[in-house]
Amino acid sequence: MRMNHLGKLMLTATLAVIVGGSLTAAEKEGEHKAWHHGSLNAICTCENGHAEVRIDGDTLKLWLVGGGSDTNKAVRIPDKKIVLEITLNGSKTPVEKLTLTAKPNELAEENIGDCSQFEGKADWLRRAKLFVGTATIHFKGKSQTLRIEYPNGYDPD
Amino acid sequence: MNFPRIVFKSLRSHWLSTGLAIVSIALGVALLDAVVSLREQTHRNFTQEGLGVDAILGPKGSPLQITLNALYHLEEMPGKIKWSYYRKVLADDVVADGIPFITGHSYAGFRVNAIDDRFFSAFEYLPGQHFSFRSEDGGQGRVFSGNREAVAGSEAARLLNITLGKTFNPTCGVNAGDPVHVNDTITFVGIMAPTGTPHDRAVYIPLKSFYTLEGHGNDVRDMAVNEEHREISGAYLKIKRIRGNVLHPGIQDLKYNIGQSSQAQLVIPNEVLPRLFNIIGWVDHVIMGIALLVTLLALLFLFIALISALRERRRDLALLRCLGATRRTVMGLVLCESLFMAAAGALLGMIAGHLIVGLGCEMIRVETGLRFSAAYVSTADLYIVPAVLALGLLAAVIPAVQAYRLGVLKNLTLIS
Amino acid sequence: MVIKVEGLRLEYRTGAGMFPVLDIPSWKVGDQAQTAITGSSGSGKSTLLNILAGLLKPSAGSVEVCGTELTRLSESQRDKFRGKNLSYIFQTFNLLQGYTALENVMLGAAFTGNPLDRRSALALLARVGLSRRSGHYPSQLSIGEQQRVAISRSLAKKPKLILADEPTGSLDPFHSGEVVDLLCEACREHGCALILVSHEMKVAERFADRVDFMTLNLALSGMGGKK
Repeated sequence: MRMNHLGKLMLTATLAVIVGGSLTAAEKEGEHKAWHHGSLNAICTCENGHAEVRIDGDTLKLWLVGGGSDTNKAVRIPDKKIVLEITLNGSKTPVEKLTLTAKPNELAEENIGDCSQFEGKADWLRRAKLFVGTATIHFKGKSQTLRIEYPNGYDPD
Repeated sequence: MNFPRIVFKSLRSHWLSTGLAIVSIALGVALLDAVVSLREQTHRNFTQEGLGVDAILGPKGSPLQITLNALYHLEEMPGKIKWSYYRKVLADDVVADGIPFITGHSYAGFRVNAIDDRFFSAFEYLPGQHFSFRSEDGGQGRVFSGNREAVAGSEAARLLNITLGKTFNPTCGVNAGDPVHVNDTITFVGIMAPTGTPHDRAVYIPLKSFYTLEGHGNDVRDMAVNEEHREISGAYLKIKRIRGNVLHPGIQDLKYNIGQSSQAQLVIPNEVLPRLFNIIGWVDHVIMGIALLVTLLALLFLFIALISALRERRRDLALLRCLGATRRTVMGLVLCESLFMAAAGALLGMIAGHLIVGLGCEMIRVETGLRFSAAYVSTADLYIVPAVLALGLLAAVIPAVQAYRLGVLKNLTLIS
Repeated sequence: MVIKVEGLRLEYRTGAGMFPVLDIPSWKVGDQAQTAITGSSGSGKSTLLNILAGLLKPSAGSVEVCGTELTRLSESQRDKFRGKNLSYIFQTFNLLQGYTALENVMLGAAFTGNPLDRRSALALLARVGLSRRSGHYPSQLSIGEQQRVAISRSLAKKPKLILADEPTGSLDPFHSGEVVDLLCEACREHGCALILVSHEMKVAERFADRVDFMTLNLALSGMGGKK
């Protein structure tokens, strides 16, 4: 039986879920969508905001987005960079520092100091399987702790 | 006198109930066939690869409204975007090309869009298909070159009796009563070959000519030369491909990035239109349900017609048994009668269904430019005859079994 | 012999026990013979014809028609046998109402595997004097004309035996004689046997060979016993 376009989209999506395994744990976080196919990390609480993190090769990309279901809405911060203290592979002591510099979204008229996107490079990112990163950022006018748990995302709720 | 003739004679002897059964089946089948054909053709028209557009850069507002305006020349754009912003988007790594346009004018009810002339050479309205003005393709004339020139889509030209050299004054707006640019006379220099898309229903003028129309004010006039202040309604975007002709995966990041701006959004037609069909899908299901119900009721009528005909024919069937017909033969008679009525109803219904579509598609084409065809072979055409035959057989099971079990002597006693 | 019956018995089960309807120890009819069976109404003559036609199976005994033992055949086999070898004429309503006279005649051979063409069917109708009425429906024919069409139809398959059950029952005496004479002549011409059942003596007297059913069927006289 001929299938309409929506039917084909749904079948493809279903197959992708079955073949590719379940949705990533991060995408499951609070059932909120990670628009860049990264992992969502709540900033203090899920309703407060999220940091979506994705690793492409040796580059870590971070997007600051809204809380709740507003994960497609960028939240700009005045920080020019974010310095993450990295704890690798479940160890308790931070061993790395990763500096993420602001990467303004020009199409959204962002600037450094008024920016929602950050990027950082490091060789060890290519081999990273599990790490936790923490930093302090000025999010929504307050100093808040940013916690990133890769690859599953962070959800304190 | 052979078996088929006996079947035919039997049907003829009960011509009223036979005729009613065939007509009622035909009615149900016609409805079903027409609904399925129109539905499939609608889906095809509205989802054929976004009509050549990977994405539309448009102002903030309803994505559906933007899609309908940009691709189907319906609705109005909810705003404008800056030329400089369009140029920024054009420079993005995932964007291959862009064709800017301005909507909002009309002529005798048909939309007049100002557009970059690369629309006629670079734009593929369907995969591999470019607009043509060649006479062998059904076109005339050429693309506009001067500011006061226009080209018309084939359907607009036909309905407005547009010929090369004819002039018009565009209306500033798309509604009846909107003011006309009385001092701006534009000449038709080309008529596009038919494309079977909504572009057949539009009229096109050069992008810059929009800014120079009288009555728009000096600010707009300034946009013709000053890119900093220039605004457009939107732009058709072609996105780069990766291996296997797949859209660059960066399109979603691009969509996100543009979405964060205060003035624009990226609309992907192949995402918007299925959502539209999802919304109206339930209406579609209800109509299909009604059509199915009518068909089933018709088959129920067939069953009743067969049962009541059997009651009247017991004597005749007993006589046939007496003449040498076996139980299987009389059962076969009943089954064949039912199959004949079902087949006749199904075929008649399919023809009627195509006629209904034929009547409807002309109206749709005139109103929307979308091409529907009475000759389109839908899923219903492939399955409806076997399905109705199967149901016709099912409707005949009980009467056929009754004919099989007919007591010859009991019914012959009525004769002697 | 076109008919050979031995020890034929037919009984029906009733609340009071088994009720004998037919008890015929022995009966034979020669090829091309024409026999009239007389007897009062309700004596079982039609029942005997039904058994000979293969429409009813006896409780016991042997019934050989046209060389075939009917009691050994299944119902479907008896239907086919009847279709090829026997014709049956009833008292009334012999014809299918939705078919013309010609089509009714052609139906006579429809189940033989050897259908009758229009020309032959017209010839049969002409034999009974109805070639001009070939396109008429039964409702447009008199009872006598319908019986003549039935006679034509009975000859369509070139049967070996024609069974006629009170064929003149609905006719006046003049037309009765006409129909019986026609039937007998036609059977003689086509070389088939005829068994005619009638309660009318005037009809039976036209036959050289007559059988009194009271004598033939011992169940009527109560002289038959269980074997």
